[in-house]
Amino acid sequence: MTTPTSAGSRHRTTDVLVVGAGLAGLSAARQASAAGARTRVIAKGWGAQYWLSGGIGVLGYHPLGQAQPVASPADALAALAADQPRHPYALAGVSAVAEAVSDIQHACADNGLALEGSIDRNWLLSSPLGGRRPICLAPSTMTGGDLTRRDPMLIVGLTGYPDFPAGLVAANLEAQDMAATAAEVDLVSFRQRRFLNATVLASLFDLPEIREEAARAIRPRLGSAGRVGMPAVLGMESSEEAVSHLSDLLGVEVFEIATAPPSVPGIRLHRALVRGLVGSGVRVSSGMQVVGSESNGSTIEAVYSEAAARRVRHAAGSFVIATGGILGGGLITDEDGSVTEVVADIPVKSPATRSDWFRREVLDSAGHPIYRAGIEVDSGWRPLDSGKVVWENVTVAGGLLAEAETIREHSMDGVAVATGFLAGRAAAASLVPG
Amino acid sequence: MTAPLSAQAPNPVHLPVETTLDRCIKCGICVTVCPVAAVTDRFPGPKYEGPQAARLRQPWRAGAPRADLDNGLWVRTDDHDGHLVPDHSVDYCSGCRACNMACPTGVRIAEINARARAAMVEGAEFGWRKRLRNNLLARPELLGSAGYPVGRLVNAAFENRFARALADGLLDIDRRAPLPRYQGERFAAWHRRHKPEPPTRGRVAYFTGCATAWYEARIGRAAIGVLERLGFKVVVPEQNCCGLPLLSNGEFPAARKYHRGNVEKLIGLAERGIPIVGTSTSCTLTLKEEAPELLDAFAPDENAVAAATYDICEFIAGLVDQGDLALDLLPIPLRLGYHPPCQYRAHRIGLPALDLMEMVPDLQVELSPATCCGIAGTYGYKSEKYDIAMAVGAPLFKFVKDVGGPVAICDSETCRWQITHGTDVPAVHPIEVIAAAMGLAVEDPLAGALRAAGVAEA
Amino acid sequence: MRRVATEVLVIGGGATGAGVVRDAAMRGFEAILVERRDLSHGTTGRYHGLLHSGGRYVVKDPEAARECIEENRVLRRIMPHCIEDTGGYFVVTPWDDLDYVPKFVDGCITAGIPVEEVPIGQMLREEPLLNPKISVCLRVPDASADSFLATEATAASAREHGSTILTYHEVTEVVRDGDRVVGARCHDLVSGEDLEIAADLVVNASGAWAGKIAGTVGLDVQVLAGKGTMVAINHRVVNTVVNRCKMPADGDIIVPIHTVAVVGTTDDRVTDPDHFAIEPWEIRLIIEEGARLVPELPAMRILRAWAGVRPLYQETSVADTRDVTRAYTLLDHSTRDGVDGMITITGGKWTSYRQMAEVTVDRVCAKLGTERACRTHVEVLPDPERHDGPRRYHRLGARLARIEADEAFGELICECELVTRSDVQRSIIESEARTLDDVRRDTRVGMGPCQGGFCAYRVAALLHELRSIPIEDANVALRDFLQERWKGELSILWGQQLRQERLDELIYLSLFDTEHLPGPRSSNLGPSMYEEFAPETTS
Repeated sequence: MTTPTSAGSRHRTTDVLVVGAGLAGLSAARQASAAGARTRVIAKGWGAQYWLSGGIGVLGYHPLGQAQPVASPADALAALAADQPRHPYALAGVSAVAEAVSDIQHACADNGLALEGSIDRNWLLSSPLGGRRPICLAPSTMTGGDLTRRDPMLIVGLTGYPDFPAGLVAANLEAQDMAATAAEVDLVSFRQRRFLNATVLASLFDLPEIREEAARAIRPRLGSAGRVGMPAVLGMESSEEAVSHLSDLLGVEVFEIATAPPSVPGIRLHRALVRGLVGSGVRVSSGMQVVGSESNGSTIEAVYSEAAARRVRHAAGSFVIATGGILGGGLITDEDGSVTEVVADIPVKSPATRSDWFRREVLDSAGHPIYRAGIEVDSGWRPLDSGKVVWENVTVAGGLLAEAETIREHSMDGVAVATGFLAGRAAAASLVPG
Repeated sequence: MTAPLSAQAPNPVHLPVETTLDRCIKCGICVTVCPVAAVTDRFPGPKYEGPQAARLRQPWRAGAPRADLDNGLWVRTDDHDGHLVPDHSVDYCSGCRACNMACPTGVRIAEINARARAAMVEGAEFGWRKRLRNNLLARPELLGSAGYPVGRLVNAAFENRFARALADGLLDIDRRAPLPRYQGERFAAWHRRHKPEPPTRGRVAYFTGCATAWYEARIGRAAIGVLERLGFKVVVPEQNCCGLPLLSNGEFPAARKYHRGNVEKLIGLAERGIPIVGTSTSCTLTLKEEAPELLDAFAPDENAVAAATYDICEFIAGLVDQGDLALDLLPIPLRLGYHPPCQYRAHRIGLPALDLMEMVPDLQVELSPATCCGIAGTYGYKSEKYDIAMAVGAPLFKFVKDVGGPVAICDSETCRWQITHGTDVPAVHPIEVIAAAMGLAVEDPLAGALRAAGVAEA
Repeated sequence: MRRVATEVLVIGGGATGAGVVRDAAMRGFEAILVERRDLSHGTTGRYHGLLHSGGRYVVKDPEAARECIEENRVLRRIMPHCIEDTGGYFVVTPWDDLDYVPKFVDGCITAGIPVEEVPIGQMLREEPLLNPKISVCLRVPDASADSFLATEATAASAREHGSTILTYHEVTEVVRDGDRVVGARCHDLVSGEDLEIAADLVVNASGAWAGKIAGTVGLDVQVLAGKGTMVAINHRVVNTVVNRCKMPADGDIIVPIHTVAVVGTTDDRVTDPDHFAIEPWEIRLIIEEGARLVPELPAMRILRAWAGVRPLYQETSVADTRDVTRAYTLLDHSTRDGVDGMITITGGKWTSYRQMAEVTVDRVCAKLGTERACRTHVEVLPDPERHDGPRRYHRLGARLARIEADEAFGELICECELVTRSDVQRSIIESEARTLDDVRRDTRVGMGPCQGGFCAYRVAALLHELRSIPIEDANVALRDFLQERWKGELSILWGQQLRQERLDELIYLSLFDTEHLPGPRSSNLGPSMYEEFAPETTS
């Protein structure tokens, strides 16, 4: 560990500075902090967890273009690692991925959020349009929607909430040979609101009286349904309680189905992880966009974040860059075909020209080459330029890494968790003298 | 390869804040953190009012004529037909900037909303009563100076039910809202007779702010005490209200006068490299960024003053970082709740006040998880918004009560008053806590809390 | 094959065809219009949205200029709800020749176009983002026009007057009997059925496709396809139409329309109106030229690029399409080719579509041996959103004002363009929208920053619910629309718009599993791609 320069400044000293507060950054911070490093997280804003489903997708499709999703992420990971040796999962190794996934499961459990499942099996859950969404760890509020079960479902939409078309969901499930019917319930309490979005609904479902009102409206529509799927807005603070309360009231199992962004289960996941970090003394600050860095030889001394009237300097012994890729904002693309890394201008591996960025079909199953652009790293997650380490005290994690098509693979969470886990450990370990 | 197109643009100029809407990817994260939209349907949320509505607001092209082709004429009219800002609901934005802080792409949502409000004012879309009320609330300097000579009378009036009912009925200033009290000696009077120790370091300028000038002189005394103990020669330059209340009420021309006034009074200091340090996080943010950004005020002197301005804890923590300062702090065996105000977070400097307080031995500072106290400057004083402000503040009030300390800590004046209003727990500025830890004499309510905790006064 | 008969058959559902069928119907003819896709699917829906004052033509083509100002006056009267009275500037940048100014002013005066000089200080107060190095600014009565809405309103008026509009009816061949055209055969893309329409007279109003249509009966009509590419900036960079004060050239105009500013255009001759590419040089040129008007333009977000094909009629071919007259051409094939029963109207520009229709229907009357007066210039078009009170030009904030007044915050389907559930319902039920793209043309759904990311699935769900269509059809409609939006983004995807597109992928692929939903991957109602996209510029 580095020694504080003076006793007085210990609270202003950071061993490991994590840039980015997505799953990769939070996982890295958890590992760095657990290893004893004084750790801080700074981020421009919140990100991918607010958009995704609140579970941990590890690997949903491999190879891409398969009609059937992956049954066992653990098995498919081995195949992926063999097929794509530069893929972040290949660099991490299957056992480290498994360890990281299990660790995040524990981290969530410790902070009041139950994620169910294991790396040996994917859940198949309904997508917000009734597609079959493979996911490795799912919030316990969702697993009742397991599509490998045959008991019929009633899919319940809420009048006034446009992001969960129950009729379409049920029709798509039916068309894929799963027994589902739809109902829309119109609650008096909701009619009094001028707009319903996911967060408004979630805070309403924190209230027992709203659940009772919803149950009264749903009960006559149950028919022969053995379980009830509702949009994932069933409580912000007390979702597990809300779901079990609704199940008790209806006498059948109630489960949540993910919605379009912003995602309430994603917010729950994000908050659980931040809560855990804050509890262990890690400060997580948003509103801080890193715009540059200061180096000395082959090490980064500090990064700078944009602030009112001047930039703020953040010195640290080691840095984890987990700013995300094109979507997260860690990579900036331009008309001339350039792809730039924002924190330390690390060389990016990307298609040579813009004409190579895209394929003609938007839904192309192989994906558009530009989205595989990113940073190449060594076995210690340090950034590489033509095979040479660029910065000794920098590790890279998550969406910023090259070679993964995390959206089509359904691997965004898993890549973030596994690489964050390892990069955070590596960052803390690099602080040890010698 | 040719240069990227964006690099071919001229050197960065300060584009209007509205152009930051180009960064929006519609993801809705802002909606999930907005404390106002969470408690009222009157505000449709930051995504709607910020980057979305801004694309549909018609700028007022003053003086631009319309063609009357049937008569082959140009017709000049000032009729904007209510289309400048058709969405008056934007006035329910409290300006807390929780949205800005959570936005992953950097849309200046709160600023877009503030400018929309200003366009409403410019377009005479607010009635005279609202304008009068807003102007009254937005002029703390005027109110403070007018009221000070009769401070007791004003205190009495502020607490008089009839007077408050009258203000409520006539002006829509909510009768329940936490108006300040005049307390003890005025800062300027104290400062005139204050005798500092000889300095061992350079000079800093103290930006007092209206609240310290008229209502909470104790914070100014603590600030000057700390800075002088650190060896600085503290000057208190001539200054005026920073203009933030006017900015947040859309009264931009008046705010511009205030801001220009301050720039002209402070530029001499800035040019000599003398840091301008303030205890009011809203005043310092206004000088740094808020006034320049909202008023498009980026003249060299305005930039220089902005760059010279610091929050007091930011300034001190910066010295600590440079190894330029070893604070020798006495223990304070208390557990206190700390709420960093929205205006403080908006500086985007982290939490230097918390960093400093965490250096105080035995002091246990609990960080508030709440987004906003609700008052948002003048927002919570308005009858139509009082209940919203209290609902926004509820999680903070609960936090303060749960922590249960004898005082709460908060950097911003109206937030302190709101906390006390919502909890009956008195609130102090972090610099008072630092002052106490440095062994300086502090005043009530902190002094009382320390006595009760058995901390001997210096 | 089903057979129907009518007096007048109009081929082409762009502005001209809709104008002709309305005019014919108003003069008492029984008329049918056939369009192979949706109304304004072709050139009409792919132009920059300028209602010309005529200023662009005063020096080069005074006749066209006079026509423009005349029709400008008429259209403002008959369709104010489709027009935003932005006003227009002609400005002299450091790259332009001051000698053009007196010619321009004289031309305006001669053509009867009101023109006034705007002091540069005043110009910058009105339009702060314009280049402060502009030396001369002249104001003319340009405006912007919603060509989707205008065509829709023109067709609605035609329906009110008893005519039939058949969309998604592609003409497979015009039917000729000896020296006479007697009708046309169509294929209904939705039902898959064929239809033969017998007509006393066929009006070929298919614009850039007029040559192809005429070719089916062996007539040689040369219509040059002048490809014009343009881009939409995410916000209204300017609120006034801004033209360079010089001879019309590439990239010299910015048109503020609805929530965006359209910068364009290029002019490039293509051989086939159905097959062409948007080339990277065009995008770069538009941005570089646009930056002469608005210096910060290169840093601004582009939502989309698209290209329309101008129908430029020419008896003899020329190399540079810019020299072809903008005035329209009416061909009577009986006098020209000895084939009776069909006339072709082509060329022209959107601003003069009504006049083109009037001249065409005058000829229809003559050919059918009757004389009936045109009234399209006096009768106001129907406005589906009309509220009581005086008729007004469209205002940018109109939707914002409506949502605010109705407190309809919870009713938004497309949040970017403020389209409500009832707007979409009206499009699906009353306007019989078949595809999500049809709904877009009716309502602007999906035209904002997220390009459908947060609304396409909501519209697909409404289409499924309101139309009771099979789920597979709803799924393919969704996929078609995603592809249609993608097509327009491909050539401008970088920076923040690429980030947006990746978020849209996260939604549709990671969350929704759209690619695996039941049903075919695409349908024949989906978009046809541009030939190529973003081939590399090596410079």
